[in-house]
Amino acid sequence: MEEEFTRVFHLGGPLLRANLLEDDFGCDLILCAHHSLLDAIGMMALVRDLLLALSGTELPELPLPASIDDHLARIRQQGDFPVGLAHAIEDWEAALAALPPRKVQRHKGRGVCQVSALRIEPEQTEQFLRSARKQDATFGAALLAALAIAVGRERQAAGDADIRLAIPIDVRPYFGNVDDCVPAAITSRAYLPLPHPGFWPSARHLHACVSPFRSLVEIDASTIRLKALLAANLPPEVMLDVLFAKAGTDICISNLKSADIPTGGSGISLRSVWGPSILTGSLNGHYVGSATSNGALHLTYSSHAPMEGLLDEMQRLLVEATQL
Amino acid sequence: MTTQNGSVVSGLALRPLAGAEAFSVHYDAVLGFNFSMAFTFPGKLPHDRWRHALQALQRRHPLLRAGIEMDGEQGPVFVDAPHRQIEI
Repeated sequence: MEEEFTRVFHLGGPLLRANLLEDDFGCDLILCAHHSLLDAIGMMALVRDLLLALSGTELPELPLPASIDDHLARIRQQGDFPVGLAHAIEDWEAALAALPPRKVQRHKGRGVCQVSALRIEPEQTEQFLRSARKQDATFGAALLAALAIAVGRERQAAGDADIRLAIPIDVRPYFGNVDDCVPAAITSRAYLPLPHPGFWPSARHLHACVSPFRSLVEIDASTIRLKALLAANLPPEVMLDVLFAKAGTDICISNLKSADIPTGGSGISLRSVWGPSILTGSLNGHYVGSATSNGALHLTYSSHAPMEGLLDEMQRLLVEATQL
Repeated sequence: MTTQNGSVVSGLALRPLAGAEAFSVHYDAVLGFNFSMAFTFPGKLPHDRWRHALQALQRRHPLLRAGIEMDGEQGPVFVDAPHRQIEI
């Protein structure tokens, strides 16, 4: 995976690469895509189709997939665009605007990155899930808290007053395009004040930060913001400088939740899913992909400047939190 | 081949990239924006079966047969690239 990050895609296509690594125990299929082509949920749909194809199932050709913008235009044309969360989003924008200025430095060019991974056994994963429910939080929010607190200790020592997070949100449930091979996510933003208010209060706070983004109104607002940035026609380097200055984050976490795929008669079963894995572009940024397959939590960490033992620290914090 | 507004790209234009898709192209040009996942299987299959399955995926999903070209008016555009296979 580390090598895949540094390999440039030839834009002539295809925009997906596959590598197969085999040993005496089985094999690992590594898929790498240009991010304009698809996201993690889209890649899971591809792997589901891949297993069906391996089983000999005929897969009918799908039409050219619509983009998020196309779906939004269709809903708007139908005339029933929902309103209702506008105030929550305005409040949230005001909260973000009130945070102290933060210079998040972006990496200059592709550069080397490191990837590490951790598998947490099903029994312990189940304990984490039960604890989150008991604490009136979600498992995803518990993962956010564990990562933010783990990174926050270092950042607090460096004098930062908060940790900034980016969390991709899958928008397919709003559009019903589960089979489409397209990127269909927006990026929500959250922050955690330092020192943090304790593990579960942090998890509930982060959950509350992300919630307003789960709406058509915010999906629409996100696409409008992005279009405005693109319409400025800035050189790409300058555009990214603007983005990092206005919305730079310290960490990003993408939680796939359950990533089980039926064997489908292919003669080969999926044991583990690792990732999604990507680089945030931030010089000191940390990206964690999370997926639960066969009951076990799989964490994959990528960074230009990795924190040693970060995933172990996340696990330790989660274990500690189950005892509260 | 021409796109809807008359600009020229060398392949068959499928559609312009939408906001997030186009943004990824610019981001990738500066910082690299490859996206990767790994899947562990306890068994093994002959390579030919994997290759044929990947070809089936390309037949099913139009954008797996696509490339990207820059169009002066519309920005990046998905273009058909049917003869470029996903290698394994």
